[in-house]
Amino acid sequence: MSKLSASSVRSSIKTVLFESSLEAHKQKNEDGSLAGKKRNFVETIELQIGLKNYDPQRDKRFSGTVKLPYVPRPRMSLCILADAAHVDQAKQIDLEYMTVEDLKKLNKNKKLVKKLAKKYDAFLASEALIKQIPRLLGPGLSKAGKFPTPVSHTEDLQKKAIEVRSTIKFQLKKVLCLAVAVGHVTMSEDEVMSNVMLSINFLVSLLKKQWQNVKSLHLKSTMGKPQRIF
Amino acid sequence: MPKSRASRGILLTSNLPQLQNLIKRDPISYKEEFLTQYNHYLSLLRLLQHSPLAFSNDSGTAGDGTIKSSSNSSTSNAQHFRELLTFIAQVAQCYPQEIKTFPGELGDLLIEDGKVGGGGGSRGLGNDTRRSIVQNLVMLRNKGVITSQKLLEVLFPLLPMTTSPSLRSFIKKQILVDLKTANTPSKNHKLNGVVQALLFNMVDRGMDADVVGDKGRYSLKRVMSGTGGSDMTAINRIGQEAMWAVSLIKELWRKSIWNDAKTVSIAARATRHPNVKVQSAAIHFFLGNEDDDGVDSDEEEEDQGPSIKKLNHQRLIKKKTKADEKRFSKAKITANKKRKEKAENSANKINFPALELLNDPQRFGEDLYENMSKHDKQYSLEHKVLIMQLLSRVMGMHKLHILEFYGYIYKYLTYHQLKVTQILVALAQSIHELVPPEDLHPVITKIANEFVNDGVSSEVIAAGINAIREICRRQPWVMDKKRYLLKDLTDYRKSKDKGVITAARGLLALYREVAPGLLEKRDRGKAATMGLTRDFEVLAYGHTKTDEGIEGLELLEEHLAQLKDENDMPVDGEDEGDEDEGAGWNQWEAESQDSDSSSEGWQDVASDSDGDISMSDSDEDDEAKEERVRRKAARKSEDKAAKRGGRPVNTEAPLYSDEEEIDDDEKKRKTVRKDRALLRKERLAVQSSRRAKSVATVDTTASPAPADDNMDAEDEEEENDVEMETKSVVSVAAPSVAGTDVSSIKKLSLLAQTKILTPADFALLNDLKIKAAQATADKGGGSAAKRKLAVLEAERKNRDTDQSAFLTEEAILGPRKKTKQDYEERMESIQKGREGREKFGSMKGKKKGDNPSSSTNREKARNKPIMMAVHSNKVVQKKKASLRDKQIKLRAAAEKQKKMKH
Repeated sequence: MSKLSASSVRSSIKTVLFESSLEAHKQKNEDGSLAGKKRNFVETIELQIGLKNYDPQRDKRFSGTVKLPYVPRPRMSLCILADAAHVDQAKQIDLEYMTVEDLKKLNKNKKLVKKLAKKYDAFLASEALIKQIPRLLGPGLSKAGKFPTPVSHTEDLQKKAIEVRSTIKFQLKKVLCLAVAVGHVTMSEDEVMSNVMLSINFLVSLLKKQWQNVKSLHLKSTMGKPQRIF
Repeated sequence: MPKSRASRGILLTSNLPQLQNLIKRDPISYKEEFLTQYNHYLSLLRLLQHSPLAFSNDSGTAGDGTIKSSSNSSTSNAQHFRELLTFIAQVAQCYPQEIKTFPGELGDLLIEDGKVGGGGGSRGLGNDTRRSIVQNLVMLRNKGVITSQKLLEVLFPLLPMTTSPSLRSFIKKQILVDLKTANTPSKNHKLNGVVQALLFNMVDRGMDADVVGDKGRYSLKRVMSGTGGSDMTAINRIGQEAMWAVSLIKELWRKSIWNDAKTVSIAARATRHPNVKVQSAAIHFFLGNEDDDGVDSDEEEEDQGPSIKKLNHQRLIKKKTKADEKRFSKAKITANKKRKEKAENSANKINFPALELLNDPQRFGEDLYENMSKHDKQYSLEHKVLIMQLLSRVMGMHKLHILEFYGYIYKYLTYHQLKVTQILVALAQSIHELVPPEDLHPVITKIANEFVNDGVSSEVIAAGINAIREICRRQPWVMDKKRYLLKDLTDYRKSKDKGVITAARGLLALYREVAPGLLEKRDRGKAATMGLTRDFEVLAYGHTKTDEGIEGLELLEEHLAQLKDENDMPVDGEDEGDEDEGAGWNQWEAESQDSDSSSEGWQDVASDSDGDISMSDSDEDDEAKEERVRRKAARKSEDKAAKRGGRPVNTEAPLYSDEEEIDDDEKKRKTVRKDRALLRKERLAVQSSRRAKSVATVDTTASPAPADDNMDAEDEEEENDVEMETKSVVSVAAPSVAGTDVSSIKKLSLLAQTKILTPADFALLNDLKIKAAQATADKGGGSAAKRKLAVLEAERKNRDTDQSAFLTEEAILGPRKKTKQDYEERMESIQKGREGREKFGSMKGKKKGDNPSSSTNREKARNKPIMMAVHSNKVVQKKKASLRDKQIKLRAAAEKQKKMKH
């Protein structure tokens, strides 16, 4: 592939959205197979990236987080490790929370901490608490890559939750490919479009040789076919 | 005399090489002869199996009387056995059915022999026989009679058993070669899996033994003398086996034959082996010491091809012939090919550092720590420092929480501790931004108390401050509750010692950048007070930097807007639209720099050739444009869409304003391109003809409406089939983000959401960033701004900013004044200077020249001191000579000169 244009991205998004919609369920291909299938859950759309010309031994490891304009995973489960003030706020907005006492009950038990880490997709923590987290929970959370994001009392908890939900992280690990969730199939085409564009642009800006480091880009819904866009 | 048939037959049976030759030519007819030989081999083998010592002593080691008496026969037997082995192996591929059991028998023989031999000493087979068996097995592998897996299964257990160093190195080499050939075109996962399992078992076998330290009464020797010999051999053997496994892995990793996680996991396992040597070998594997990286990689360095530089030089000197020229051009071609191949190989090869491939770093770190703290008394300091180094690297790299480590290392933080600099390095390296600052307070306080006081030498103070600086670089908030300490430390910049001053200044400069709030007001410096360093400040604990967009994108946006204003052309010629996306992508992957010549202008963005980027629209004439139109049919659909989006705006020209950011994006990009072209042209002063053309293009673009219509018509003709697609794309130009909940997001980041940034955009972005960084640096943004500028510039030039990821001891030691040498050092340097030097004395005549001789009279006369010469009779007489005599002499001399000229 020599270049990537906005129109080809858009058409790929259309295909992805179409294939997991009800219309596709009804429509048939020439060979009789279904053109797509509507699933019983909201499929996530992910961007898969293959890299090239990248020497992990020499080149600096890149990692970056970016906030997308639209929330790609609205159902991402969050939990706040809260102090008293935050507990009240969390109750108001139906956010799950854990207090210091709850954490102390885990007693640094590896299994319990692991279970906790598995239960939620991300964690928030009150700013006053954040420094105690490693002491209270041991390495469990950071091992799972879910070290909490601090929230101060001045910040709006709801907003912070949305921010965490719409933040994606690009990080290279062990293999030269990575994938991020950029949307879901109930989002509108334009919304997915701007999320995808921002993620692609951001990723490319992270790379040392920009586009020369990109081998491939695919768009794919959870159960759909991958669409190559670059 | 002609030989009879019978005699020839006899000859055949005894002359194995000849028979081998004949068999290879015609296997079927010589089968009988082969079977005879094979039976002979079998009987010898049976003899050997019956009495393992039958062939021993072939190399003449003195045994007792009985063996000596049979020494003659056994020697000849062994000799014959070896010959037979070679013979059978040579012709093995001719009779695959007959020799089916042959490789297995050889393998068993070797392994059995190793077991019988036990811990060395008297062995069943002689060294020669063993060697020959191994060689023949390798030959069978090369002939494809056995698989490499089978061969390796025999060789691996043999490796720790053999006592002969030459055989051992032969086996090791063979294993490496075999694995390399098996993995050369593509990885042979099956074989690798089997071999890795073998190696893992070799490491794993001794894991449950007691740890034997390397210090004092726990050391190996002491333990041995206590328990007796039998234990020693067992422990030794386990260690040896694991040692071999680790050394093989190391070698395979270095040659990147194996570079997967499984290999790493074997080494990770070996770091907990009870044998200290194995542990240290495994740790060295992870630390990847440079000394064994560079030195022995040469042995089988692939053929580099002819050296062009050398040939070039030779051509300058040698006589030039046609043949030579031909040879040179041929060599050039091969060298080029080799270079390309190499580049391709290296591009395909991905090798992560071993530390990154660890399966469970947290667990690995915890195990390392446990191993170190549990056997604290058993391990020597060197070994503990080694473990600390590895542990700290893992902790820093994977951001692990092993808080006990800081408590453990506490006791080593005294200035008189041996190897304290390495320990400080380990401590600093282990810290990352997620370490809670409170846990570091005791360590920091201890360093400050121990190292930074008036009772110690200045080097110690410098080392202490440097160590604190390195810790603070990684976790600046340690000083949050210790501002008095920070003040104390930074005040050491008024000290008299250079090392201390540098260290304290380094600490101060660091905090001016990352957290000026922690410094006293007057220490903060100009840049921090002005708020110029805000970009570099470190976020509070636990916060991560979340980007709302791409760094510096607002610069690009501003630049585009500015260009638009300058041009004062609200609507560009739409005819440029078709390549506006394309132009940015032009030649971004090509390597050649010929972009100047081609009017198609695929511009090379990767290189730093900011001068010779040619802008396509301005250089080219209409024909080229049409050609391009045809070629880039696909891209046109999008362009059309842009037009459709843009057209309503065109009609309402007064409404065209900032609000319609996205609508304008497309156009702006066009403008940028053109504008850049113009700028370039001014700078480069291109030929006037070209300039004229560009002016023409500008003219056409200045009258947008007709051009627009023309293009549109063309499009309609050509692109009926893509109508569908076009419609779908219409909304690209329309603002896709209808400001509902996005109003909070900065308008600036819209650019990144609505268009894919092209390589050209990134190049421009980098230029702008450099400009901005330059401005900040000029304004006095401090060292951080300067550093950022340097990094950006290096990026543009595609250079590596080569920063090692790990801390070195030098960073802790800091710059030191060269101290006066003590007596030993002085003597040593003198001795070093004398090395290889000949005895003093005149070289004249004696040693120099082709035929050494003493100096001649003429030479002596010439070199005579002037003050002696002027008083000599000869000179004095000349001075005293009468005018006439002088005249005669002068005339004669002139005459002589004249004659000499002819």
